[in-house]
Amino acid sequence: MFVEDLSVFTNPAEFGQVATATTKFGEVITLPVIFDNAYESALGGFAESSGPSALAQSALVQDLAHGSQIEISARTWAIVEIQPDGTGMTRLVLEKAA
Amino acid sequence: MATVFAQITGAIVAALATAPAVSAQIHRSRVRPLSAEWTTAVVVTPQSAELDRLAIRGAPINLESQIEVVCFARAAPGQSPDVAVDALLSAVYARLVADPTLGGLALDLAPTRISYEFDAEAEQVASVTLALTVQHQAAALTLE
Repeated sequence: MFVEDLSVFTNPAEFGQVATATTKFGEVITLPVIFDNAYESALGGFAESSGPSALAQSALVQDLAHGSQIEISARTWAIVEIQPDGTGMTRLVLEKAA
Repeated sequence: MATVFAQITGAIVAALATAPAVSAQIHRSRVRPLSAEWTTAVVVTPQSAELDRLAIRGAPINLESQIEVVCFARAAPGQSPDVAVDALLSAVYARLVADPTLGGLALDLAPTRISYEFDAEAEQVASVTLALTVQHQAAALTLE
């Protein structure tokens, strides 16, 4: 069976970066992600905002849960949605954390 | 001279901005998105008006105008958005009902509806629309 190397999609030497996350078991892990935080409007265009998310290999985020914190580029985010795409990658939807 | 609609909208903005202002960001008929840097904001917008058709020709006409005051807040991490906007809503409501004549410009001002809307992007946000019915008069020929 052919197993695709998904790490190329989040390679920190290219478009990825290393994030530090705390699992639901309290363990601190590092993992490569592709971080995105493009402009998004809120309330149907009433207010400016952004839509932060991190794309990672599903196998590396299986111990993360809603509320887990992840630090990317010196900013801490809370994971509020976990969206596996069924191909081995998972998008973590993020929200500003304290 | 401005129409009574513009005068009343301005009077509501002025009431909310009177020190201490209910928010550092008080806008009038704003159509652009609120800045991501603002944690709270208030937007005052005239909506519509009903004219009293029984008015005597040439005499001042009675009007009932609908004004919306939108209270906006971004929630702090871990805070519910309805809680984030609550203090602002309370302050706006109290400020407006404290002088329902808007300094003599209106006959009466009455809050008639409160509706909530929530959203979440980089943070959770809330807007509360406070609908006001303002009874007032205007000159028949000019709406002043």
